[in-house]
Amino acid sequence: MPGTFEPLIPRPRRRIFLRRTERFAARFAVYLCLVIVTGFFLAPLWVLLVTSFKPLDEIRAGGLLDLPIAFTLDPWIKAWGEACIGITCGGLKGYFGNSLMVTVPAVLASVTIGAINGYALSKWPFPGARFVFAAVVAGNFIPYQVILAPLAQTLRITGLFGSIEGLVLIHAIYGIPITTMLFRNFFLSVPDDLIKAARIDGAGFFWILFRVVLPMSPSVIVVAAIIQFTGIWNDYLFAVSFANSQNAPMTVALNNLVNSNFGVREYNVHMAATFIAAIPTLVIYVFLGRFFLRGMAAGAVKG
Amino acid sequence: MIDIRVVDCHKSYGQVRILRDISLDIERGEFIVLLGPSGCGKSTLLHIIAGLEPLTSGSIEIGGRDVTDLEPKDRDIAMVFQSYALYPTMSVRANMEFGLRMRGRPLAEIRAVVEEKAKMLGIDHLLDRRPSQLSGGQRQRVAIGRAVVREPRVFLFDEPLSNLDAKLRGSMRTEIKKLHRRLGTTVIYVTHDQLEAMTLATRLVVMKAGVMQQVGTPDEVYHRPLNRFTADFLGSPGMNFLDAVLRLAEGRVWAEVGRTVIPLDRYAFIERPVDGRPVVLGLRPDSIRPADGAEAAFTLDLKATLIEHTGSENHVVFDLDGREVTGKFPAEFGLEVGRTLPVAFDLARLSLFDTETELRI
Ligand SMILES: Nc1ncnc2c1ncn2[C@@H]1O[C@H](COP(=O)(O)OP(=O)(O)O)[C@@H](O)[C@H]1O
Ligand SMILES: [Mg+2]
Repeated sequence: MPGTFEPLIPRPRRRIFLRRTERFAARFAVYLCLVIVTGFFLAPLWVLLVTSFKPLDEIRAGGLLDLPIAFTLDPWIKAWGEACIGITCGGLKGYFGNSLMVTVPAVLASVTIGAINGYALSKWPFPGARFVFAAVVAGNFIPYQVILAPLAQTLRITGLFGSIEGLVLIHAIYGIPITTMLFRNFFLSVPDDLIKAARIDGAGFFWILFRVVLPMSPSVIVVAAIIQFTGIWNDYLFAVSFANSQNAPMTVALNNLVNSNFGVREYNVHMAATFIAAIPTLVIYVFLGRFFLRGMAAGAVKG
Repeated sequence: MIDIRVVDCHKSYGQVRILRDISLDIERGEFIVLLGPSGCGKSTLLHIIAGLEPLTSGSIEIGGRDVTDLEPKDRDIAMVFQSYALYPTMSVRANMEFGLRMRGRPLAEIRAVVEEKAKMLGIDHLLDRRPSQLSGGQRQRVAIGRAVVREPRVFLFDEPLSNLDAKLRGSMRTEIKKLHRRLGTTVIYVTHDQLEAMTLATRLVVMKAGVMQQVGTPDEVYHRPLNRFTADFLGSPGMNFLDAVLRLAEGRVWAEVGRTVIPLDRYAFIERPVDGRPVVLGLRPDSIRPADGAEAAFTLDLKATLIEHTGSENHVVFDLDGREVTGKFPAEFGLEVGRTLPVAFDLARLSLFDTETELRI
C-alpha cells in the first residue's frame, strides 16, 4: 500500500489468521465432498447388505435403508446352498467354484505371460519389437462382440466349447495385451545397467526376470492381478457365450437366479447372492488396494 | 602375454558409425584407461569387450580365446558400472553372492569368498544392508566387491567414480590403484577425467569420435601427443598453441613465432623440416617457468598480463608478441600483473603439429 504507513506487525498476524480459517474452510469443503461421494457409492452396497438380512415381509413393508428388525441369515444360506438356478436347486456354491476355477488360472496365466512379454519388449530389444508392441496395444482395443463368432468356432474345433478350460484359455489370451502393456511400461523404468550387470553375473533371461526385475515390481504385479481378477470374475459376455450351464460362472448363475420367472421374487436371496458374487473382488481391493494405488501412482509419474 | 586383443573393431547403430577400426592389444596385468570426451564411444567399446553389445565387424579375444560370439558370462570378466547397478531388492551379501550362485559354486565356498573380499574392501559390516541404505562411496565399494568375488581375468570399469564427490573420488582412485597392484588383474577403465586417467593408467588410450587417437603410457601421451586433440585434451591448464613458421638457417631449425625465433635443436622431428612450413607449436604450461639465471635454458623477457592463484601454484598468462602463453609458477614466486620478467622455456618438451592435419610432425 503506497503512501500509507501502517504498523508492520499486526498485518502479518491477521493474514496468518485469515489463512488458517481459509485453509480450514477449504479442508472442510474437501471432506464434505468426499463424504457425499463416498455415501453415493456406498448406498447401493448398504441397501444390498441390509436387505439381504431381512425377511421378505419386512422388505415389502418398505424402509429400503433401514436396518433389519428381524435379523435373519436364511437368505444367505439359501443363496449359497439352496436357491434354484435353472433346473437345479443347489444354490450358488457350485458356480462360485466355477468362477474360481476360471479366474485363478486365467489371472495367473495372463499376468505371468504379460510380465514375460513386457520384460522382453522393454529389456531385450529385438528387430520388430516396436511393431510387436504396437500390435499388442491394438489388441487392447478389439471389441469383444467382433470376436465372439470366431472364438466359438475355435472352441468347437478344439473341443473346448462349454468347458471351464475354454473360458480360462480365452480370458488368459485376452488379458495378455493389457498386462503386457502394464509390465512393459513399468519395466522401462528399470535401469538397463541392472540387466547388464546380471548378464555379466551369469543370469539368463528368466533368472534376471524372476530374481532381479520382478522383485522390484510388486506394485505392477498387484495392479495387473487386480485388473485381471476383477475383469475375469465380473465377465458375463464370454461366460454366457461359451460356458454350458453346468460350467457357468457366478455372473451367469446370478443372472439366472435373479431373472428366473418362477414363484415370488426373493429380493433378500437375490441381494445375498449378489453380495456373495462381489465378495472376492471386494476382498482383493481391501487387501491389495494399497499396492494398487501405489502402482497406479508410479505408473502415472513414470508415464 | 597378451590378455585381450581387440581386432579391427567397428560398431554402428543403424547408419551412425560409433566406433571405427579399433585395434588394441592388452598385456596381462595392465591398467588400460580409455579416455575421451563424453559421447566418443568409450562405453560402447567397453560393452563390446564385455559382450553386452554385438560388434558390427571385427573380433575380440580374451586369454587367447576368440570370445566374439560368447555371452558376457562366458568371457571371464567382471564389470563395475557408473550407476553401480546394485540389485536393489537384495542385501549387499546377496549382491556379492549372486554371480557365484549363478555359477553354481558350493555355498560354503561362496560364503567364505564373500566374507573375505568384503573384509578386504572394508564393507564386511554392511553385508546385511540394502543398497538403498548405503552412501555413494559404500555403494561403489559394494559394486567393486561384486566384481572381485568372481576373481575374473579382466575387470571392466565404466566411469566408476563420476558419481562421487571430489574428495571421495580422490581416495577411491587411490584404492582402485592399490587394488590393482594387489590383485594384478588386467583392468580396462573408462573415464573422461584426465586426472583419473593419468594417475591410474599403465597405458592410456585416447579416443575421439569413435577413433583411437593415441595409445601410450601417460607420460608418452602427455609429453609426446601424436595430434593436437590429444595435446589439448590432457593437461590443465591446457597446452599453449602458437602459430609458427619453420625456418632453416645456419644449419639449424627454428620456429618463428611473430618476431620471436625459437631454436628447435632438441626437437625430434618425425618428418623432415621444410623451410617456410606453417606449423602449430605446442608448449605445456609446466615447461614455462621463472628463469633462475643459472640454467642455460631458452629465456624470453615477457610481461605478465594475468595471474590465477590455485593455492599450490599460480597460472601466469604472458604476452608473447600479442599471443597469450600460460606458465605455471610456484605460489611463493612473488609476481604482479604488468611486470616484465625473464621466463624460461623447456624446449625439450615442446610439440609441433601440422596446421591442416593437426598431426605431430
Ligand atoms: N543404443 C544406442 N543406439 C544409438 N546410439 C547409441 C546407442 N548407445 C550409444 N549410442 C551413441 O554412441 C555414442 C557413443 O556412446 P558412448 O559409448 O556411451 O560414449 P561415451 O561412453 O564415450 O560417453 C554416443 O553418441 C551415443 O549417442
Ligand atoms: Mg560412457
